[in-house]
Amino acid sequence: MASPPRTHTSALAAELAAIVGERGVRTDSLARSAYESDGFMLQREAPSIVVLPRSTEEAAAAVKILRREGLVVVPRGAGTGLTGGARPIAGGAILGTARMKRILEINPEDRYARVEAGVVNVHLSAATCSHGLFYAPDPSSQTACTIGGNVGNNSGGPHCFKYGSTNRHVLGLTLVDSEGEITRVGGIEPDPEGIDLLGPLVGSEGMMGLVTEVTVKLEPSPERVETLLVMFESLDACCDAVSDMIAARLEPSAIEILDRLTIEAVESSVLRAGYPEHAEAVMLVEVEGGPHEVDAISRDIIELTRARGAFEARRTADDEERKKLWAGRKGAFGAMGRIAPDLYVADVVVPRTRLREIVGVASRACAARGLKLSNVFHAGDGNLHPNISYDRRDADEVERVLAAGKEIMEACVAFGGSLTGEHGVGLEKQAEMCLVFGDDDLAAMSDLRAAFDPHGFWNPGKLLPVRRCREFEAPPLETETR
Amino acid sequence: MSLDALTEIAPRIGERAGAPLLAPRTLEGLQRCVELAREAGQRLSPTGSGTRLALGAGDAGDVAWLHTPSLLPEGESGILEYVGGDGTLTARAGASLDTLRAAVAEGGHRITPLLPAGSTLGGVLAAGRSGPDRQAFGPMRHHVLGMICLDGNGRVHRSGGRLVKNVTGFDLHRLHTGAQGRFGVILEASLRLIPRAEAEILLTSRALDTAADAARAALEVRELAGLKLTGLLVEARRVHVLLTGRAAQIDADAARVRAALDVDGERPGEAATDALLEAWRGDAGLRLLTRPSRCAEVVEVVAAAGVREDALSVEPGAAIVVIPADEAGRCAAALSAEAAPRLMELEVTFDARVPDAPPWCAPRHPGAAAAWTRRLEEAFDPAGVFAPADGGAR
Repeated sequence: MASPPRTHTSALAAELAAIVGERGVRTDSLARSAYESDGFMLQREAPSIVVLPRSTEEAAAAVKILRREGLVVVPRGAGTGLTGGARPIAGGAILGTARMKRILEINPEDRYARVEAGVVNVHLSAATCSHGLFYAPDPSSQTACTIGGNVGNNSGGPHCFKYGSTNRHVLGLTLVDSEGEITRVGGIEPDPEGIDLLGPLVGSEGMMGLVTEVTVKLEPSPERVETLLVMFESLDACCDAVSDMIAARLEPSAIEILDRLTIEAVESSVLRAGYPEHAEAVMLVEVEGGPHEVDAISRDIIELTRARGAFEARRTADDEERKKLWAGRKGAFGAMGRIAPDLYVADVVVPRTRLREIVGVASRACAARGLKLSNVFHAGDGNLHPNISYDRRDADEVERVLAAGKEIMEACVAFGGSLTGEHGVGLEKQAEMCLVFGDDDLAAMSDLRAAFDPHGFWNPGKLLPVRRCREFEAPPLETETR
Repeated sequence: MSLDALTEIAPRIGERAGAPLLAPRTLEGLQRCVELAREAGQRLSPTGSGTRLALGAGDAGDVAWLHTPSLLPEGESGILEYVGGDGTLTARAGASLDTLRAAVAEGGHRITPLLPAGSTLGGVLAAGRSGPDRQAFGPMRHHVLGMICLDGNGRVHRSGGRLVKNVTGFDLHRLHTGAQGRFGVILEASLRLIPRAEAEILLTSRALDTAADAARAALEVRELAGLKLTGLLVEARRVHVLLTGRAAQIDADAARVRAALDVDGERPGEAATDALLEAWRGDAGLRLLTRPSRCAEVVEVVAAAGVREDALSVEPGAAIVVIPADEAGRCAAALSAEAAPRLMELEVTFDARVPDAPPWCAPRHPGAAAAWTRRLEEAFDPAGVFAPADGGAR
């Protein structure tokens, strides 16, 4: 239940509007309600005020004012996050980058781009493809999520199997800190020396500052790309095939799995990717490189998957066919809306040797609670998305969903895995951090965070569990700044 | 007084750069050393095999070295877990990189960075060292999956894990990588491994007229559409191109490289990667970091200041130009007077951690970043126990 927002003064709104423009300040309840949550809608909180600067300088000026007024701030890109990382703090502000969406520079020779944080992920690759370059991290939400948000969560996507997550593609960034100071971290050098301040900032979930600008590495477009659709009569066999591929050290650029329920949802939707509706599971594999390499890897994959019982495999290098196949994968979460009004998208990660087992755990956890489970996941990375369809208006069902999610997370940790492969911790997995880390680990992370944000101004109360032994020693923000 | 107390726990086994080398045998012993050092105001510096010291990275001043390989149990390799089926390796910091490399090679994997023999895992991580295979695999910090460290509070803390994809918690292991032991001692780390290729070949050009010409030729190879390079290096005015992958593809790619470059040497097979490492002079010296498009010009600028063309080492794809320490010393005056202004205009940044670094090397963390670093040091080593292994200031 959303708590009443802390009142703000018109003077504050006017002062901010003088910096970011009238359209950059939202105070009416309808506008603020649009920011009550991100994609994790089980916890909602209306912000006191929403501020949308157009530039780094405007953001910095706004931060100084907000800090003076004693508000805490939650940075927000497109709000596509799935763990509550962009959920407002009661009485606090949202500082959004939606109006900072310029691509500032594309340098084909040096293979980098410099963008404002609000640039939509897919727009970046669209802008660079004519130069024979692309930006590799490709989350499923890439048609909406922003580069700044990707930095905040260290986002992944199917092709991170080959290219790595966002933290391998950020060369530098501009950060506004809690003093409203603007700092450039990193640059364009691929391998700089010295202390890596950039590394901890990527994936810091908006808790160390506001990222306003990012310099990213671009990859050269491969000479040839093929997409394989491999069909199985058994989800277990499909998982085992992935484990075999990793053990055989095959190097496609992406390996994804969709189960029967997901296939049905996709094929019943406008997406209609051409997945076989009689398959228990399909594996979508991308292979990139020179023509000989692609051919050799594709043949090896087909041979290996046949040994695991795949009943059919299709290869295509046709752009339109490939686009259709991938649209089905990337639109799968949306297609699940046909089944129930809400979808709990779990995000867990295990060693690739344990895929089949954790899929089994998820299946049993949901069956035991009468929940409908579908699976679509980045099998190549061991990053699973057990998706549970539910209706959040049903409180009992919500409780069962969260219990199933917890059981799945606990099993992942027991199997040598961890809580999240790409969505982050946010609010959703805050308590479960204690499954993975001990007191000293969490204290060290708290110290790291405090070094960048000693006042607890940025997105407080997220990620790190709040326990009596973990409370900040610094006084609360309110008493410090008034 | 404090040194005597320390040597009761961590026996003195020798000296490095004029400072005592102490060997703690257990984690508890190491923690006790840190505690004693904290109480007595003694400074400690973690060290692996000392290869970085041998490269002239600094002397110890008034510190005592902590020898991390001594933490390895007798007769053990330091490998804690190698999961071939998941492509990950976890090992103690004191483990020899050569031992790790050999172990995973049997399982069909390789470790990045590609470096000369003699380093430890912890030493390489603390120094943030990468090798000439960064052309393909990026800097080595991108392959660290997780880490366990002991900080100056005596606190053992962990971040990341043993998974190839993982965003659980903040990435403290990225902070420790390249920090030269400033924030604590690396105890253990997990790495992402790379599959060994089916085939490889090293192609070497004839010596071009100038190092800048060689850098340009290398960049032209880099621009060949779709070519996948594992290594791209200029040494002694020759271009070295390492290709690895499927045999049929390597054959086709090698033909393209031969057409683009005047190749007068080839090393096929498993020896190719070793041959690249042999050709690489390493990163000892003054490192200039630029961008690929300016590499050749940077080389011209330093050559014009008198640095011998044959002495320069260039990785054009990673945009690194290395002036060996002896050349940097010999040409110090000309580099300062003639080269430095133009290098500043070209926005070159420098590895300023070498001894007697020229004053014109720009600081890496101005402004707020300096404050962040200071707070990190205060949090992770409030008593200032740890001296950075490169002799850098705190």
